[in-house]
Amino acid sequence: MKRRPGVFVLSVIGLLSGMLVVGAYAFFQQLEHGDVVTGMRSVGAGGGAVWGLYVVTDGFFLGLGCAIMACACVARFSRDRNLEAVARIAMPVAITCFLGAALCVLADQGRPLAALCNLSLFARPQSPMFVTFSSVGAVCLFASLVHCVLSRRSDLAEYAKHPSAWQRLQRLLAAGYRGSAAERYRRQKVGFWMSLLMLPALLAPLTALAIIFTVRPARPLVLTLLEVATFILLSGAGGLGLLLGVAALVGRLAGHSAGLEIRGYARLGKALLLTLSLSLPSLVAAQIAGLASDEPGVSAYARALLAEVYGPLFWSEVGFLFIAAALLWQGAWRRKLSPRLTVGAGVLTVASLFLHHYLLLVAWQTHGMSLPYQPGSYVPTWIEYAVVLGIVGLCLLLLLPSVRLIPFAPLVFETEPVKSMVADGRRSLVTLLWFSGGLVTAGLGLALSARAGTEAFQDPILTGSPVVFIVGLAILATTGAVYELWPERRGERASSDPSTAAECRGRARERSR
Amino acid sequence: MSKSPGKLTTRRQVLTLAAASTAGAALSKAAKAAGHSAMPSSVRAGERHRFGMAIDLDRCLRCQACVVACAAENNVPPLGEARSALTRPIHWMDMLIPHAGSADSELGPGPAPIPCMHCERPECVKVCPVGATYQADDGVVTQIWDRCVGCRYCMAACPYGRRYFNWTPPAWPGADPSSANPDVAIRPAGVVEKCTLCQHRIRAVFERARLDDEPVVDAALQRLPACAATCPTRAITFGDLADPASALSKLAKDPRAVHLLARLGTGPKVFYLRGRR
Repeated sequence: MKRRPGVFVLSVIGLLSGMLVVGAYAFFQQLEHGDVVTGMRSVGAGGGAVWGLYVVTDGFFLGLGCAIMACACVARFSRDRNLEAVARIAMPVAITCFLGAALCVLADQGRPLAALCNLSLFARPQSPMFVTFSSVGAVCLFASLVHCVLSRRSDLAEYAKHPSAWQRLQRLLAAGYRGSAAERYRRQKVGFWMSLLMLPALLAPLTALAIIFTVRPARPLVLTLLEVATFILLSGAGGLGLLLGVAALVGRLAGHSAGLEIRGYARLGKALLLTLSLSLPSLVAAQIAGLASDEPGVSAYARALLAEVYGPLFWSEVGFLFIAAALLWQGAWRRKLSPRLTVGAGVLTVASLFLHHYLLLVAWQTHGMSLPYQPGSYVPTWIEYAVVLGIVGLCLLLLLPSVRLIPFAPLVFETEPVKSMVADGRRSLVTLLWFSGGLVTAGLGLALSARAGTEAFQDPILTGSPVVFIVGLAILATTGAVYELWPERRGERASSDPSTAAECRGRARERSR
Repeated sequence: MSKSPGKLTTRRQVLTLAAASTAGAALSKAAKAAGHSAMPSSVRAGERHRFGMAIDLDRCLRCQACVVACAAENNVPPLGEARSALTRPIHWMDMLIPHAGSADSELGPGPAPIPCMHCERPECVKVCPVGATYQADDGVVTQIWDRCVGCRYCMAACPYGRRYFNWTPPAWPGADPSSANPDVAIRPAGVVEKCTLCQHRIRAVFERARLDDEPVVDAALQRLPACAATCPTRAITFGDLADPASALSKLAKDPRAVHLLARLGTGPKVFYLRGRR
């Protein structure tokens, strides 16, 4: 039976569409009049910041996306039943964050179309932007999407049995899935390896972004290392915080079976407490290192954060973090980490993460110059706010149909390990060939882009080789899909046991009751 | 390889020709090197250079003639009332006016002209994601405006803050850019630009020398960029740091020579002369 959307859903769609329209209008204003409509201006004598709200939001979204996807991967290979919902909820949220990050970067470019074209043709691996550009496209967006769809195929096969507007697409995505023991075994294997391999792949764009945000020639190495560590740790904490918030929202809107169990909240709360306990000292140490530095720009930047123009924002950031940590500490001390407490701490952490990125990026540009320029200032204009809101609106609008396509509520549970089965030689060989092809393509693309073995490094040896690299990464990302979806032999298909899917469904029903 | 009946050259002839041209090139290179050592204060077209600039702060009047000449030469759109209200000026050559209360820089307390430093190890080149900025063979850090995507990473990375972004489309009084210098491209909105040490002038001088088969004498280079040509007190000296006999190389050995933010290791090729007072 097809369900019609209720008033609440319609009003949410209306609100998001409104945000999107305003954002699109603002972006076209920016394209027409140039970036002068933003609050950014040249650094140094220009007295401003060349990177503003767009890059801050990009860092914010990318950090959140990487952290949330990492949580999903850990939850997948840990096989913890309490965290089962984490992976289910986290993947679409992470993909939405990655999309938001990509759009924010595009909005920041002086020539967005030229950026798409020239990055594909001439991107240089020597620039930290190459890692974020290629990783966001190939690893974060594409691999996450593949991982997300593969992990929910069993649910999709069940959902596809009921008539809905998405039935055809659900059938297509779940095509061939019968829930046999062999399929479940392959799913288990692929899920484990994809989760394991994606973790370092997710760390790469996050580290590259941390380098873009923090590495400056005048900054001492100790300060840079501390700030990179704080950036990564706080992104992790923010990701956990957002995940807690979204899990609470999903539990409220889509029913208890779709959301996180109480133990799941407690586990995420403890992980949040751990990351906060590590990031707070790192943040304090970075400020002390900044104040103690002999470099005039570095100490001016630290002073601006602690006592001058950015003081209120900085102390709000520290205050939010302390309150979040204190809430979690007292819950952990009493052995009562309630969902409300953890969600509250999570929301505070997300707010703190945004402030941290803003201060790290903007304050350095306005107050951290090594030459004795006048201190600058940066105030975002309504155009920047509108564009960012438009991007958020667009991403959430895209998330809504994806949630209808693959609902958060699970129908099939698969937490018990499936018995290992006899290896299928042909399948393994095809997968190996596919993986090798991806590796060779990616390696070739990287070597050609980097002008490996040549003196100059301005242009890639082959124009367009960055795309070859990204295609190679995309091939690597689909290796799991090849292993999982490669057609079974006739004999194998006959011997597979479809009754196991019915068993899983039965277990799901019991659990939801 | 099969030999076609219409072909006049044989394999032997090709090899002989190749050997002769290689020997000829080697001989001419040796002859050029000998010529170079005979005339130390002049440079031949096609040789490797390290162009740089010296700014004598003891001579500088802070008249900003260099700032105006640079803008006129390089088609930096004139500001005017409306554009200055946007507070996004572009000055390839600017005046560094130290902020009151800040620690003294290497240049002392007063204002000083400051162009791009054309570093030996430029941070902007390292971070550019598309190779839109690069260090040319002559050491000039230059920009391919058409390739720039406007990410502004180079601006964030430059410790001297010597890069400018085109926040607006270029506008000329009466929308008439006919007064623009035809040798320099007009940059569109959304790209970063910077001082090129008047590279078009350098290229013109060396191209003329190549055609005439004459060396470029150092005296022809010293006042080549627009800022140096305009300076009323000859405070700005341009030249080739790779030529040990050039006036610039001698100034670089002057005890008054200071490099801005030398501690960062960027190796600026533009340096200042400042009396120790």
